[in-house]
Amino acid sequence: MVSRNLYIVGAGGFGREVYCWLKDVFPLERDWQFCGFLDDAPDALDGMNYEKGVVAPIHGFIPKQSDVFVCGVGSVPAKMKLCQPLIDRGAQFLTLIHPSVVIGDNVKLGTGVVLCPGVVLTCDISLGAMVMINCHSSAGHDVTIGDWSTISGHCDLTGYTKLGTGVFFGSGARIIPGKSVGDNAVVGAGAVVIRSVAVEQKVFGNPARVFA
Amino acid sequence: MSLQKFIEDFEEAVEDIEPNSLTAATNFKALEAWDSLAVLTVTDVIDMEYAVLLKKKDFDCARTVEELYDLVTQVR
Repeated sequence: MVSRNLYIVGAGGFGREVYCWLKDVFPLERDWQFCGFLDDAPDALDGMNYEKGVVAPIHGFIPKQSDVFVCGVGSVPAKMKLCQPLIDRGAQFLTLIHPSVVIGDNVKLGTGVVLCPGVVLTCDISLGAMVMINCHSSAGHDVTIGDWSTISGHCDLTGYTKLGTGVFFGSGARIIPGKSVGDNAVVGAGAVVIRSVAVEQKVFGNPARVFA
Repeated sequence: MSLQKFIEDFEEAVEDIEPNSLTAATNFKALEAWDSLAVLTVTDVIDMEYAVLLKKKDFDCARTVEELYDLVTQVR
């Protein structure tokens, strides 16, 4: 199998989690070797137990043909700001699916998607590019999630819900069936969305209310 | 506050009804979209917009959108 050089973009908390999940990928399914983290803070992993550490900054990194990347940034604005210039320079982002993830029929995943342990995607679901879904979140039938969105851990996206581009769901947030969330909206931790959320709105609470 | 604005808020709260489909005289409990979730979303929007927390008996008493509006204005 051709071996490619894999870098995790971002050595923050989520990046270190992504490193753990990469190690769970079955050896026979790996056509890459992990080469280290990219981060603009060279000391991001100082004093921590990471063998490869930060090997280069993200800013200005020129991807080689043999390089592949996994996004280790959870924040929507940060990952757009850090990863889009890399993509513009030709970076190829891999989709990382933890072996414990359950995926049903007719599920489409964009490039660069990261699915953490315990994620469940039922059927007829579409995820855009660079979508991150953290541990134990689930998406029901006919859910669509736009590019760059991040779903934190323990979220419940019920059937027919539609999330736009760059949507952020905080930990444990949930949305009732058929409701939609506009581009760049933020659903705060623990929120229960019972009415559709407009573009760039921030909602919190149960029932979720507009904050900004 | 105006009745017209209240009707618009009501329509927005229920979501599954066409904009501009309600009038002051609409019997809202006869709407197909009127269900327990609609009670919750209308209660929430009225609380947010008018700082009035409606009770179950308010919904039991009111028949039309205008009667609900009158209840809210009385409390305010």
